[in-house]
Order: sequence, then C-alpha cells, then structure tokens
Amino acid sequence: MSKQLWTGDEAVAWGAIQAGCSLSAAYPGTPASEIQEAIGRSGAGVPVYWCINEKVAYETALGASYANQRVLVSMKHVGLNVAMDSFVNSVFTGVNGGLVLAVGDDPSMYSSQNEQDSRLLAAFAKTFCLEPSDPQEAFTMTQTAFEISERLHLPVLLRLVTRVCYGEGQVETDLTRRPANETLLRHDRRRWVVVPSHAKLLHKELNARQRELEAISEELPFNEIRLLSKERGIIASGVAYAHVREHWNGSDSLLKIGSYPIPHTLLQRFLEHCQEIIVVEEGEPLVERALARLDPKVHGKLDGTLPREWEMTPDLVAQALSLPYSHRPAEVGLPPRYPGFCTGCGYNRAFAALKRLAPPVVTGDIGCYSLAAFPPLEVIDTIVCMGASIGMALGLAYSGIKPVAVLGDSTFFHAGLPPMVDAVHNRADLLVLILDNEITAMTGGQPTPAWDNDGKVPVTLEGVLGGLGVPFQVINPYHPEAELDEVFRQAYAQPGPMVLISRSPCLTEGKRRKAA
Amino acid sequence: MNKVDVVIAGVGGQGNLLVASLIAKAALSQGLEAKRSEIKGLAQRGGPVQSLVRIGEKVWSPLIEQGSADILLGLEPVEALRYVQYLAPTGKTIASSNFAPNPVSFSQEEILTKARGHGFFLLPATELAKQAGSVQSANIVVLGAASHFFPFPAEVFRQVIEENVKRFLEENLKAFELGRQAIAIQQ
Repeated sequence: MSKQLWTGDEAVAWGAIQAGCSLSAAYPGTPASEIQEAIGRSGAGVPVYWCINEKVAYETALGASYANQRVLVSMKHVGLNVAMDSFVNSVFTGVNGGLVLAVGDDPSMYSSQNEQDSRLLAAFAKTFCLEPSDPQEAFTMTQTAFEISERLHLPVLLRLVTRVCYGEGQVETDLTRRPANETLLRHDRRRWVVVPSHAKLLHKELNARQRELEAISEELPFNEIRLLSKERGIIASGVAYAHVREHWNGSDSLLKIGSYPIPHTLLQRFLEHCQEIIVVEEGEPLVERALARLDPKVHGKLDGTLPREWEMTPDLVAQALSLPYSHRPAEVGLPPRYPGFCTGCGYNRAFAALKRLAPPVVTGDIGCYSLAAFPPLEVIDTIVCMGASIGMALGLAYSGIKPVAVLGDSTFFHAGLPPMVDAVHNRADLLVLILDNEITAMTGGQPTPAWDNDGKVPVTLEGVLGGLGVPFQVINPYHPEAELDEVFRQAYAQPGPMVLISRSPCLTEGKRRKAA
Repeated sequence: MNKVDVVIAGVGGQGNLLVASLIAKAALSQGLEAKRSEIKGLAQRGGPVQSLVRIGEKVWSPLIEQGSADILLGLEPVEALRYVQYLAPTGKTIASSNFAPNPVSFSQEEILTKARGHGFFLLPATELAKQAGSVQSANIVVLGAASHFFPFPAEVFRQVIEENVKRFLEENLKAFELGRQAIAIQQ
C-alpha cells in the first residue's frame, strides 16, 4: 500500500490507469481538464486525445469501447450538453469495453456559464452514476465504474464537483495495474444500429434493466447507513457528505449516498427509522425529491432549509442542523480585483480596434476574451455557450442587423464550424473575428487541431476557411492602430460573410513553456 | 492536536498553490491528514486565488467554515482582508504589506490601517524576497513568517521545500528564513 497526495482529478486519472484504461479522450473545461492532463503526465503510456469538442471525445471513446477497450472520457458539465446526443444514445446501444464518463460539475460557477447537476443527466439517460466525496473515493469509484460498466454493458457517469476535482487529499493505492482488455470486434447490429425497429426493443430492454441497476446500487459500499437516534437523521451525498461529517455529533442517524439509481431500500429503511430527516446534496434536490414525495418530514432544498443554488458548505450544513454559528463580519469597502488580459496580450489590441469600429452588436463566445464584456473594453454584448457567437450572429444577420461574431481558435474548431458553414451557404451578412492565440489558453494550454507536434497533421484556420470558400484575412494585432482600423473598416464594409483572423500567440503560455 | 485550518489568499502568479501544497505535504510527513482545496478561476488573468488547507488527525470537509480558520496567510494585503470572516477569534494572520498591481485606485495606507486593526502580522514580503535573491519567493517569505504558528518545527518546512522546490532552491530557503526572522522580531 502506498499513500499519495492527489487531487480528485489526479485520483480519477490514476484510477483509470490502474483499471486498465487504454484510451483517454477529452475536451478541456474547468474543473475537469486536469484529469486527462494527469493521464498525459503520468508516464503510464495511456494515449490521450484532446478532441475538438466533447461530442467528438465521447464518440471517440465509444468507438474504442466498441473494440472492447476500457476508455475514459472527461469533460465539464456544460460539455456534457454538447455530448448529450452521443451519450444518451450510447445507453441504448450499450458499450463493450468499460466506458467511464467523468464529468466535472461546477457548483457556484467558479469558471462556468451555468451550474447544473450531472446526476440528473445520468438519470435522464437511464444509466449508472457514482458520486465520490473525496479523492480516495474518486480513485476507488473510477475503478468500480469500469467494472460496473462492463458488467452492465452501459456507460457509467462519474459525477465530480469542483471541490472534489480540485480538492487534494490522501489516496491509498496498492499501485497494481490491471492489464488492458484485448482488442476485439463483436458486431451486433441489433444493438449498435439504433434505427427505430431496433431502438424500440432497446428502450424496452433498458427500462426492464433499471431494477438490475438499482440492485447493484443497493449493494455498493459507497452507500452507508447508520441507524442511530430516531429523532433526527441526515442524508448526504458526494462532497456534501464530507461537510456533514464535520458537524455530525455521532448520535444523529446518518445515510451516505454514493451511487445512482438511488438505493431506494436504504432510503425506505431510513425513512421508517427517523422522525425528521435533513437531506444535504450539492446541486439539485435529487435524493430529497425521491423522499419528499413519500413523507413531509423531509427537509432540505425544497422547503428552504438549504439554498437551491451554489455549492454546499460546512457553514450551510451547520445552519441547517441548527448548530451555533458565528463568525466575524467580513471587511467592507475593499477595492475589487478584476481579472484582465495578460500584459501585452494581442486580444486587447484587437478588441480596442473592434470598439473603435463600433458595430451595432458583437456576439461573443467562451474563452479568455469574455473579459472584453467588462470594463474597460465593454465591447462584447452576448456570451451564451461554445459556438453561439457565430450561431447567434446568423439570426441577427437574417434580421437585418450586421453583427460581428468574436471567438477563439479552439472555440471555432469546437462549435464554430457548423454555423460558419451555414453563414457561407446562406450568404449571411456578418463579420467573424477569430482571435487566434494558437492554443486553448483559458483552460491551461491544451493543444488545438492546428498544432503540428508529435507528427500530427496541422488543420489550419486558413485551410478550413479556404475550404469553406469564405473570404478571410490574417492580421497582426500589434500593427499600428490606424492600419488595424482600416482593415476592420474594410472587412466590415464588405458584404459578408467575411472572416478576420487576428493572430497573436498566447504570451502567458509561451512564458510558462519557456520556464518548464 | 485537534486541527489547523489555513486560508491562503493572493492573486494569480504569486505561488499560492505552491504554498498550500507545501503545507499539506509538511502535515503528511508528520503523519497527519491533510485536505487542500483551491479556487483559481481566472487566476492566470490576474484574478484572485484562494487556497484552503486543513490538517489534523482526521479531516473530512475540504472547506473551512467561517469563523474557524487558525491561520490566514496573505500574499497580498487586500486579498488577505477579503477573508477575515474565516478567522477564528484566536486566529492569526500573517500578510505581506506589499501590494499587487490593481488598476482600481485606492488608499494603500487605509488598507494597511484596516489590516493592523485586525491584528495582522505584516511584513514586506516582496522586499524580503528581493533580499533573498528571487522576487518570486515572496510566497515563501510569508510561509516562513507563518511557520511559527504550525504544530511542527520549522525544519519540517525546510525539508518539504528542499524536496519540492526545483528552481531557486537556495533563494527560497533564504526567503523562508528571512520571513521566519521578520515575525520573530515583531513578536
């Protein structure tokens, strides 16, 4: 046995490596990017693929699973929205080699555009879900997830949250590594071809199997029941369980939930035992809803005992359990600290030129450049999700308003290509500004398809745009302002679609590489 | 020993996460349990960074409850003040009196007065780091100053620094000593 100090992300990575995972696929996104980075750094020889988006990552994993390989696919919660089509349908087809989908939810939205609870998406897809409460469980559960996935022939969702992903703690491991599965092709068109005649039967079969999923969930050691005092019981899942343990007095009854479908027999026993129950879970009141329908003695998010939004904290648990709670008041009147573009960043200059151009509307996207929606620039008007800059610009253009859509190089490859195709096809009158820093910068410098490292074929913006037949111009944002202004003015005046590529390699990542 | 809860406040690029990791590793080397948690968000673009380290015989939650932190480490005075509500009544704050650049204008003297009002131990960490030979080791200066308040000897920290800091090791060890002396003098 060896004791490691790992973050939850590292623990998932090592759990997968030790479980005999032979391929990892991901698109970076906080707080899940570091899972695949840890696999890449591990020296374990598991190939990692930074795919152009989460849907492609999921399908890459599914393909390898088809060939009987154990695969890990990781993404952030909103990334699962992108991969949802592939994920839901893969529950119909089932998997061959174990497929574990590690999703990093971001309660409190430290680096995200929304907060959503991926446990609900596992339930929606009708598949199995595990929810670790700390790095040790993240490690163990990842290995169990592979076993369950192969036992059920279903993808298993590993629901992580920011405080598990970025929380570091001890992990005990025996450092043994299960050999990878043999590569096998076993065709089964009845399962793998989801045309209506097959899918009708697959759905019936999937529904019939839900009891089997529940039975496995009931047996797992990740759910733990302690029937103690009848007066009050606490139910907690995931990282919320860790917060509850900080305050548990040893006499309240306690039920820890770590797997889904919800282990209903355990819940029923707990419900019968306790006169009052408080449910603490991070995200949506999933367990609470299952219980509150059965009995009004259940308290939690639905009756306002705990808040419906943002991450769970030990402070909130203390208040819900009516424990004495006091702290000194926060200091007021402190100067705020806004993040800003790194010193010398070319994005700053491109945005300054765009501000001087003053188009009626600028649709933005997901990346460092979201900073341009805030002072001092305040030039971006909308930021919705990956790729929406060009997608929304289409609707604006069709409504007779000429927009400028701004997005980064990695985001363009991720979700900007499909609406760009529409723009060309419909002769949409819009200007697209691609800010090309030659990297996926905000998430820590992952590669883009334009890289030519490790013998890979660079897929360049010029090549793609040329292929689409859309006129484009590459500019250097460090050129004099007057020159930039003239280029922007001409590009915007030309009937669209038209693309400007403002190319300035990420300075921060450059410095980091030099230091390493 | 029951537990030591540490909040580390700073801005991107100051080495906040390194300090947190050194504290966790020091605890681990003493047979204690450690949990570390961080919020870095847009740290790389100059935003605030917060780390939490909890050490003790048994640690459950990665988060520290308000009103219960034993040590607040401030790599920057404004950022340290943002977390005073986390301090236990007996909690100690060790903070750099050197400000990180901030485009928002404010009175530095007013901030330092507030810090003194909360009983902060203030030390010019950046200046001391320069003396030690590496301006980037201001984080280790603050760690050195705070080392007085941990339930293990300074030697434990020196050892984890030697084991984990690859670049500018000599300068960092010197930074640790200068920080440690600065607080000893104030006490």
